Amino acid sequence: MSSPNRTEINQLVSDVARKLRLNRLISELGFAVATIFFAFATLLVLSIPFALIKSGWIVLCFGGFIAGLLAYVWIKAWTSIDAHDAARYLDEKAGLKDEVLSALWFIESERKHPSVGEGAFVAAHLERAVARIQPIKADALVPLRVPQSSKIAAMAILFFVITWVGTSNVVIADKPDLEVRSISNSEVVNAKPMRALDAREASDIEEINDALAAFERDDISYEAKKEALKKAREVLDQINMDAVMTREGLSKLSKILLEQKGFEGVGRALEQGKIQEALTLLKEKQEELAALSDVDGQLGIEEQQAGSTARSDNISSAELGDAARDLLNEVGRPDPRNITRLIENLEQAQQEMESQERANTAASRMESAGERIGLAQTGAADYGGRSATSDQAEAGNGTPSPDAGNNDMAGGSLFRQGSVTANEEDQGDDGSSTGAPEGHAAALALEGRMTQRLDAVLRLEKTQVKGDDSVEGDDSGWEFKASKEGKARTEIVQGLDSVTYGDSDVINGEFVSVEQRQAVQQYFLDIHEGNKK
Amino acid sequence: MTLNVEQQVKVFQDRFSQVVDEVSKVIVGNGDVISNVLTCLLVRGHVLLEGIPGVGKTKLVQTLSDVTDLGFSRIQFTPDLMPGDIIGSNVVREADDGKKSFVFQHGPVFTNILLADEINRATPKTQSALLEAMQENSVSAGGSTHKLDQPFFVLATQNPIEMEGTYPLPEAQMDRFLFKLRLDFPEAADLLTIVERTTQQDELTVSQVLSKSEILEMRETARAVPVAQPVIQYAIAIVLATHPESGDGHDLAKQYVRFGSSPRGVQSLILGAKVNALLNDRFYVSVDDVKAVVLPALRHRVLINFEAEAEKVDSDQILEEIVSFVALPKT
Repeated sequence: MSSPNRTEINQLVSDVARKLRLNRLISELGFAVATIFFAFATLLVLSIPFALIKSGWIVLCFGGFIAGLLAYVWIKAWTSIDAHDAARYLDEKAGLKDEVLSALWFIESERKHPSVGEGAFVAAHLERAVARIQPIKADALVPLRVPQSSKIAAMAILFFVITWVGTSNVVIADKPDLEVRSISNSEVVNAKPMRALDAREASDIEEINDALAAFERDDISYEAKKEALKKAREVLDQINMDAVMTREGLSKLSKILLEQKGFEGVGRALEQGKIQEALTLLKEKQEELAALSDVDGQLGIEEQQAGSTARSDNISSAELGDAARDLLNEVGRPDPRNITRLIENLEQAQQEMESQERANTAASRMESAGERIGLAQTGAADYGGRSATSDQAEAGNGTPSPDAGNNDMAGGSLFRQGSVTANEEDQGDDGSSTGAPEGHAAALALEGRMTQRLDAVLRLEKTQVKGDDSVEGDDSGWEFKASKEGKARTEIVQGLDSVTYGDSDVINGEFVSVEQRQAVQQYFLDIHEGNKK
Repeated sequence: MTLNVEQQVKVFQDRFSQVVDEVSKVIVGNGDVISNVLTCLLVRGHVLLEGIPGVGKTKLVQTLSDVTDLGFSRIQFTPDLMPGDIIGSNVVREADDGKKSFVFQHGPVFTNILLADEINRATPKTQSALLEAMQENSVSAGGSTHKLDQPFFVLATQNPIEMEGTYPLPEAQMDRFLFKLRLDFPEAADLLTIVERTTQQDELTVSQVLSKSEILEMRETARAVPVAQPVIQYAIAIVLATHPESGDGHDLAKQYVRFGSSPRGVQSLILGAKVNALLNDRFYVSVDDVKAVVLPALRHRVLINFEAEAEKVDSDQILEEIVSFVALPKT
């Protein structure tokens, strides 16, 4: 028995089921999209090189993953909702107390066992169920709505975009071929305008000049002058650090160019630190390449037919282009424009070198001025963050003290000069190079100023050695080691040495710079001279 | 005259409400208990009534027999009651001609409505005398089987607080009852009504509103209500959830239940649900109808363990939790 009434029930149930499946599909798709984009974003965050995706198997894996996910979503959405689920949903939404579900079951049973539908109660039940569902429209019952998962999907896409944008610069910067962080690296890659760089350097030098001016003013307190000096030193350190990096870059660039046929002269000039000469040579080379490009253009089709032969004739420029490309992070065939960028960077490097010279000149004047007013020397309390209050001998009161290493203070010299009378007999209690505070060591005053303690010269600091019971006395449990500033300066000096192309000046492995060796040498010479006097 | 389905249902509802209204004249409150008692009568089931003394257990049964044109017997169960006192026994009877023969003397069980008052006061042996009568609607005695008149309806009462000198009903006996109903202590307003009704000079009388044939018709109507398989599966899922050893058993059942409901539990659920569907003007049984009879149909079939007794967890609590947990199974 298959009356129109039964068809109506079946039709409504199938409509509801289809719409439920559609809603489910949209919802599941939202989750799938969210999963995919979160997965991609996670890959980006984990810094897995995105370039790997270009390789075949990765593409296959990702493609398979996405296809599998979508297939799963489709199957899940389409098979998880059957007619009975739709009938249940219909009953629940329309408040029919399982009437449609029950009717549907009887209709299905009727197909298998026709006798089921013969009962008077079943017939009445179906008839009433049809009457109940007449006013119900599937569209109204199951509206197509945006599921919650779409919000998650939108968040995932947003997260992916943010991650993509955020990591793209990092990926470029981390490329292995940019290991040469040369002159051009920071400026070209970051596209920092040269004027901005000039402005920065000018402000740096201005900072030093301000400190210089502060020393010459009487209305500024000692502490303010000290603060100005500290700031100026920080600026100077930064300038020197930048210069070190620039020199490193120039050194490596010179090595690259030395290996390039036709650019050996440029490389040698850079090796010798003659940037201006290198620039001149590069400009000449650029003109030659430009002329060659014109000839290439005239050759036109013939050169294209020549193919690899033509490129082999132009091998030097190609290699230089590659080198320049690596240096500049540019992808493309070599052309004079690469040389132009190289020239620009060299000019910038030259400018930076000059800035450093100016800064150092200003710094030299600043140190001299600081020395005059008793600020130039650095107390032991300035090293390693040691507390000045923990060691009364190195209190920042300008009092000379061998313990503090500030025996070269001008203030200290004056103190001694004031207390020493002419022709006074040397009491012989001047075992230290400074002399006793009582001022008996008139003959040693000058030497005391000249001879700095070696640990102060080398920026060593006292460090407590735990568990060392073998050493007794005041120095028990302490050893001298390089302070943070000392280490930093050593590294800077090493960097400077390396870019002045004098590798022999650096003892590889031990990292003792020429400056440090000279300081040690000078220390013993000073002592020797002092003793002779 | 043949009635169509709608008319049948309407008649069923009218008769049902007539009986309930009439009984309610005497029994104050506990309207759902009256309905459930009548439900059992209409689906060939038996009822176990539980309540403290004085709440009207016996009065309810007596009133029900008064409003129906049915035979009524009452047995006061005592420890010395013997099975023969219930079923009847063969006695020697001398005929007019002097011949003696064994004649089966019908016991009080041969009636339509049997009130087994304080059934837990009799010994299990005597209690079991009702087993065959309740299940098979027949009695075997003296080598012969005697059919019981229909409708045969047992209403047993028991006192839950007076435990001394009582014999708890065996599980098999309990299972024979379709519903176990609890008569709660009446509210203050109900008590007032009870006092007013029972302390007057004139005694309350009820009229007979339902004949035996009408009851049999209603039985037919109730049984005719169709039940879709998903609803039956729901009832089965509830029963399975009461079984601690079942994979579908509920966590509470696993913790507190010694034995779950027997298959008679599913039958009780469906039969009770059918009457409930008719009373709610439905020609089919819905899940809600099943839910409505879960407690009376299963509370005496779910046997709780010692842990549940110690923690004062009763079967009603477990069943309510199960009903809220079990969903309509997917087909």
